[in-house]
Amino acid sequence: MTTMEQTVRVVRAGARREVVPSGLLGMVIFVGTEVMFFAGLISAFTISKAGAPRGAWSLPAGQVLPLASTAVNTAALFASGALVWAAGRQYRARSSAATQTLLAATFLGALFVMLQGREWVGLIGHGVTLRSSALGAFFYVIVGTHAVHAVAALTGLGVAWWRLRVGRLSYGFFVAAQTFWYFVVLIWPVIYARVYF
Amino acid sequence: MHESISRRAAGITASLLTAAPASALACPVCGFVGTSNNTWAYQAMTAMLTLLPLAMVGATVWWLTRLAARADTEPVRAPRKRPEERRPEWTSLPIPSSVTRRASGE
Repeated sequence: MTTMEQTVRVVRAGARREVVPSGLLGMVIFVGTEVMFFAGLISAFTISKAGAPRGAWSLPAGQVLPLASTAVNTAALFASGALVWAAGRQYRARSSAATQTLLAATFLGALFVMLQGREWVGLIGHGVTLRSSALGAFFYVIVGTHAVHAVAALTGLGVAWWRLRVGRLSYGFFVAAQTFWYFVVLIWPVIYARVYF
Repeated sequence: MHESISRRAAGITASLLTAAPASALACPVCGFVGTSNNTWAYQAMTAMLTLLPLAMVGATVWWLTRLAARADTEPVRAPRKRPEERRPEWTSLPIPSSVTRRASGE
């Protein structure tokens, strides 16, 4: 190899700099596609609701969606999002408290999913199913899809917590898990406001 | 040449739409036509589904541009060692004496 070629290689190697972690960029693109997926579901819901005959947009047997208990679940989800944000700050400051904060956030997120599941059991017990009405079908599809995303994001947070605990957590993985959880937290108020009210 | 063809095509299309306005307005989201209850829903959701991806792509490009500009102004750090050049973490763990005895042939 000539000296000139060596020089070019060194310059090229020096010029290659990571602006953003690959995991974070991949997650941002993925979250963008997921936002469009939920936008499609909410769009279908809105158009169907607007076009439904008067009085036809309801649950069977006079059932109503549990607004109050879902508000409590929403509070748990927001608290979890705040704790993930706090864990991020602690992780960057290399504080050992980040492990406990991340565990508490994961626990609150799991609590949200479990409470939602309990509501579903109650609704199914009262005859609200996918086939009972158009509102029931949309409710289970949209809220169920969100729950699937919440479980996937919780798995990511759990893996991040475990890696942080054993000292093997990379910054890229942490911010990717954090971004996915933020998406789950921030899309929920839109779903809650649109589907429950 | 190309410009005149596209101008002619645009003129023909406009003439056809003028000649058949009902077909042009058949789409429920085209303009402020129709009086059904869900016209506003179609229009609002079309606007949302059109603008949302544009906003997201724009925001991502702006964010990456900002990060790249910030990286350009920062001083270049020393390149990190490759993973295989680092000392594996497990070597810092205490090794059981039975393993060290077997390795030395005792």
